[in-house]
Amino acid sequence: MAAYLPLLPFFIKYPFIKAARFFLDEEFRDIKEFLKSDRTVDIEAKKSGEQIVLSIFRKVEEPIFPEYGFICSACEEKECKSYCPKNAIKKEINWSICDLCCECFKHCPKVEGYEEIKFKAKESVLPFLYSRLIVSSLDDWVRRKFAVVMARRYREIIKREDSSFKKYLLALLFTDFKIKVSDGLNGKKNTYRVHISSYLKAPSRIKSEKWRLINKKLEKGFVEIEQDDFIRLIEEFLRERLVEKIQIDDEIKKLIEPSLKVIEPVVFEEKKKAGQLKFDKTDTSCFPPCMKKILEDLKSGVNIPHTARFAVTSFLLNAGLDVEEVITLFRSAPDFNEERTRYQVEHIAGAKGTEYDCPACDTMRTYHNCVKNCDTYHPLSLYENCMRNRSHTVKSYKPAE
Amino acid sequence: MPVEFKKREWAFVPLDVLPQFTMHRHIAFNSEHEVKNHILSSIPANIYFSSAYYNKPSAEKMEQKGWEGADLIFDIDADHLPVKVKSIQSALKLAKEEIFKLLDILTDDFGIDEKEIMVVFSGGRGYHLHVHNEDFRKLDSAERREIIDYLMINDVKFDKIPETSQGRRIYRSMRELSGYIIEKNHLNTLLKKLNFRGKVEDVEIILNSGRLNRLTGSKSKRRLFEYLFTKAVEKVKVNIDAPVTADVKRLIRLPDSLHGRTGLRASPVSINNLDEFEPLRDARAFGDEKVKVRVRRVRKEDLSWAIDVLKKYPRAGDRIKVPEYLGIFMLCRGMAQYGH
Repeated sequence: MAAYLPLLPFFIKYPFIKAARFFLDEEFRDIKEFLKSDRTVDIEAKKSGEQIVLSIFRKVEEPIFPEYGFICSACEEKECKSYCPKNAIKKEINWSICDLCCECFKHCPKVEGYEEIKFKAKESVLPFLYSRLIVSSLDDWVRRKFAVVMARRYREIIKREDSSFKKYLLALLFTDFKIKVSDGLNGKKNTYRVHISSYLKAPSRIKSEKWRLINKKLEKGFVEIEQDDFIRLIEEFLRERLVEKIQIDDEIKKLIEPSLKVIEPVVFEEKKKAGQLKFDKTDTSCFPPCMKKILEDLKSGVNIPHTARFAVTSFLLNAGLDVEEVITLFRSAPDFNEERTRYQVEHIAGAKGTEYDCPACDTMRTYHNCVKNCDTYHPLSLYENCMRNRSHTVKSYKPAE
Repeated sequence: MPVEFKKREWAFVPLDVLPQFTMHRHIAFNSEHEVKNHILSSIPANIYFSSAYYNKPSAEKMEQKGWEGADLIFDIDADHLPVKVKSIQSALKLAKEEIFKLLDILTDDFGIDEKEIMVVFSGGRGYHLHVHNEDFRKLDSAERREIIDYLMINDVKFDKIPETSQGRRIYRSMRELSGYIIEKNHLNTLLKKLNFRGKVEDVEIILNSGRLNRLTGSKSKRRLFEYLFTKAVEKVKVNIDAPVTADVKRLIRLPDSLHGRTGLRASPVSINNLDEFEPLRDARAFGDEKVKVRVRRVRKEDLSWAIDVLKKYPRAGDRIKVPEYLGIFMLCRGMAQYGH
């Protein structure tokens, strides 16, 4: 049976599409069967999966993606349409109705070239799956980096697609990511009306004025965006999908062990290079303006809002102060209560199990605790950069012997 | 009962240990019957439930609860409004105006159906607004902050009026304001205050034409533009209590429960009746029957709404007879003791 034939070309280039799972299910009983397989194709697939992860760290070139056109648009018969429960197939597929149930694809009678395309699809989907297994067994930051780099990479690839194919591809993708688009493909040329619940994923992560909801035309729940921005939005959805950890049990871990042995040294080296900056002393001259302002207010006995207290506490703890030192700073607050302050500071420091991060700049802004545009996204990163520059400066001023 | 109440965390502040404020939380119920029994077995001063839906709402640690989503909620509290008023009734009036602004934006811009919106008098000095809409449930805190920025018009750059829905509202408000200024012959005074250099007639022509973006030609005109714009933003922005909306695990007062510090019912109000709704009259949980109370202390701004009933402000030590709803109110605010 030529199941999923029309979708196969999509899988080759875009193996992250969820529907690719149907295809895997047909080939293998479960993931372990693939991992255990010693057929040459499967061994090759694992090798390519390794390459994908290595390419994230620029150890090897990015894998090359083969080209295949979309077959359905060329097909005039559309015998599949009677099988569509949503009645979404006319001359074209109406992607705004389609929910990717794949019934049409399961009943597609076109079989020519099927084996070849299927083989190619497998060559792409399996390595991709394998690369996700690898990053899911490593530190969280590896998976995050993987997600960011891969999502960016796919955005570039999508952007380069031929414009008529791109239309179908984007329709398939917004369906796959459950992005709510108002009129699907039937709207204005190259613009998309995206529901705010989907749209908000972008501005909450992309730090730019252009993306902020307040700067958008928002009507009846929908935001209109250009095609390139729509692709950028898809990048966010993809990044989020790829950041998700695949559950790895001991058996899987054992099966992918040989690949982990290859990747781990690279990861370790990367981590060392990034070097976690630790400050043994805190230098207030490097504090961002918002934190300086809160600290000044505290010192002068101004009653500051809860959100500002939380911000400064988490900031100071992250910058290396200990609980006692932070409590001391609060002593001048007009409503100081040692017991309550201690409880709260300890809570933020992680006594209850969760260590809290200092709020990012946009959060500071929302609560009116931001006092200046510093051209950064996070108070701590401003502080860290300043400290880092300082340590360089100190070194360069060291007199020669 | 809240939508999908089995997935909510509940919290209670017991009455018997007041004024000490302790909260029993991480409680979950599987039936309405259980809820009733729990409340009747020890009468609470305040009842809260979570805006969030959890897989295990009774888990002690937040991470173990399994967050599945949360209603979009807004809190408009007179204490968070830029205009400070003392008396409860005027505070509530201002809060209601904010609710109307919020409703307008939620339905027009956000496309939320009025049927999915529940407005609740908080029982205290404001209103809560709950949105029950699947699309908004999954939004995380950062995403909700975008909504806050939108409503509160946080940090907008204004070289001209933006062509957005909020921009339209700002424009309308600027027109209203400039119309008022011209009508009342305040233009000259205002321009003097703004250190305006140039022809006043030019400005008047622009203001009358409505092409306010033309007020950017000179530095002087710009100052007027910025003045109008800033005033308009203050008017258009909805003054919500931002942290409440951004918090996806917030506890919020149970609609139809009593507020422990007023004895008033946190009453849901249908949007159609909102205009006529008078919280201090329509949210009473107790009757008119006269009760005896001994006055401990008096805060006039807390009692001004009931001055018609009281005739005059009582003084500490007075023994007076008041309607039960007022007696309970005074009790809850620590202004009186029961009995003579």
